[in-house]
Amino acid sequence: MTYLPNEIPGPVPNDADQMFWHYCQQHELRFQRCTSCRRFRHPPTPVCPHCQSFQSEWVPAPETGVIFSFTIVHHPAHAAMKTVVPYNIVVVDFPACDHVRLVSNLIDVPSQEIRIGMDVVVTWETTGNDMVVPRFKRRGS
Amino acid sequence: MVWGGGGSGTCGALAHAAMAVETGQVQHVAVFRSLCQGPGHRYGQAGGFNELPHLNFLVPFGMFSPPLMIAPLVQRYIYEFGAKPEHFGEVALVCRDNAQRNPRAVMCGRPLTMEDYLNARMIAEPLRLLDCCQENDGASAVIVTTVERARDLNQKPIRILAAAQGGAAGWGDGALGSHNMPIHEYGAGNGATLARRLYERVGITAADIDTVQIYDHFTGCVLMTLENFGFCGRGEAGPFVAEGNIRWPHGRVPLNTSGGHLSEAYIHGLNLVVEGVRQLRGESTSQIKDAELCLVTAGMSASPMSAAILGV
Repeated sequence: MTYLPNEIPGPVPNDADQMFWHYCQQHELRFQRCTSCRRFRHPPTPVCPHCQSFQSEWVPAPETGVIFSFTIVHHPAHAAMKTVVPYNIVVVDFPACDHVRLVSNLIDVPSQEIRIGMDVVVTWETTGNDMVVPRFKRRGS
Repeated sequence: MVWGGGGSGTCGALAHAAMAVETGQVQHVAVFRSLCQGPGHRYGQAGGFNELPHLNFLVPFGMFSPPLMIAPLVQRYIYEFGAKPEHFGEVALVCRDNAQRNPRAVMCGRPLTMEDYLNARMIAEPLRLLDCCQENDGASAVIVTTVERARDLNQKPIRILAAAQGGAAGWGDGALGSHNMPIHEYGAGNGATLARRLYERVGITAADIDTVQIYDHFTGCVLMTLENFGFCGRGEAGPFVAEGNIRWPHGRVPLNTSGGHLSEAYIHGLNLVVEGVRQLRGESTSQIKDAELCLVTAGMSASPMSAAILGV
């Protein structure tokens, strides 16, 4: 049982983000970092927005991220969500990686307990198109 | 010519039109926006925004539509500045109140109380139903030409004193993208750079503006835009609106005097341009006495956004 239903679209990798999803398939969360100015960026892009270098590497993310913001969704904008609402969407910040952020879900915390500043750790779920996506759990749970 | 950027580009279209007539490429430009969502997807539903970048990082996580994308910005804004539900409600009430005097407004005849606002169902916390603009079919248009030609027409000419389109660095990854805009600007809005450019071009400040037509797709975005354009300090817009500063007719800057997107109609900002023109011609149903300068903004949560200063 995944946090969101398999009927919603999963990621379809493109030229820019295929390496991100490649590592996700192996249950590895990695972010793109410029090998020239060493700044992280996300979503992935061919060129560094800071120094315009084309050279980059994929660096493992720290184990812990921080809830930077969130919403509890009550309106089922997709038909498959009618039996799922309310569900949460969180913005997870990785301060040690130049504050790159992931939009994701916190799968083990009741809505009323979600707070900005909570520490979370990555967990992996498979979408309807057999892609592995990063979701999150409360650290220590 | 297509302006791009959804509603964020509306005042950019004015800028393009002004450039075209001023450089002699054309005599007149019709700047229009028409919306007819019936045959396709509605904006508020999944699949209505297939052209957005970075959907791989949004849709698999249930972030399907603009209210869901904007909600975390407003949540963070509340966390940082302590804005109250009544602050957002004041924006909804002001627009609805203005719509009661505008017979063309969709919400004319449907007044709203703060109790109604607070009791409206949640869409995506902290956004209630009445924090979100309506969806409707409709169209608006303005004709742009040179001042010299406009003087020969029956209608009083209104000047585009400045119009510009742009955004701060990193906002391509804004709220309708992956939420990776510069972290200190998260929940701040994308308009401060544009505001500075426009005010400098006209040689004025926010203090000179008589009325504002602010892109009100969501109430929280109105608060952020008021801050971006210098009507109050960062994080101060909640108390600023609660003190009556955006109320017609005696507020410091009466806002969205036709009812705006929240209560007149959602025409991707072009109806806000039309209302700005009405104000400066003295033809608004919520007229500001002797209005001479009107700020119109378009978008803020994506990039590029745009804005214009209209004058008599």
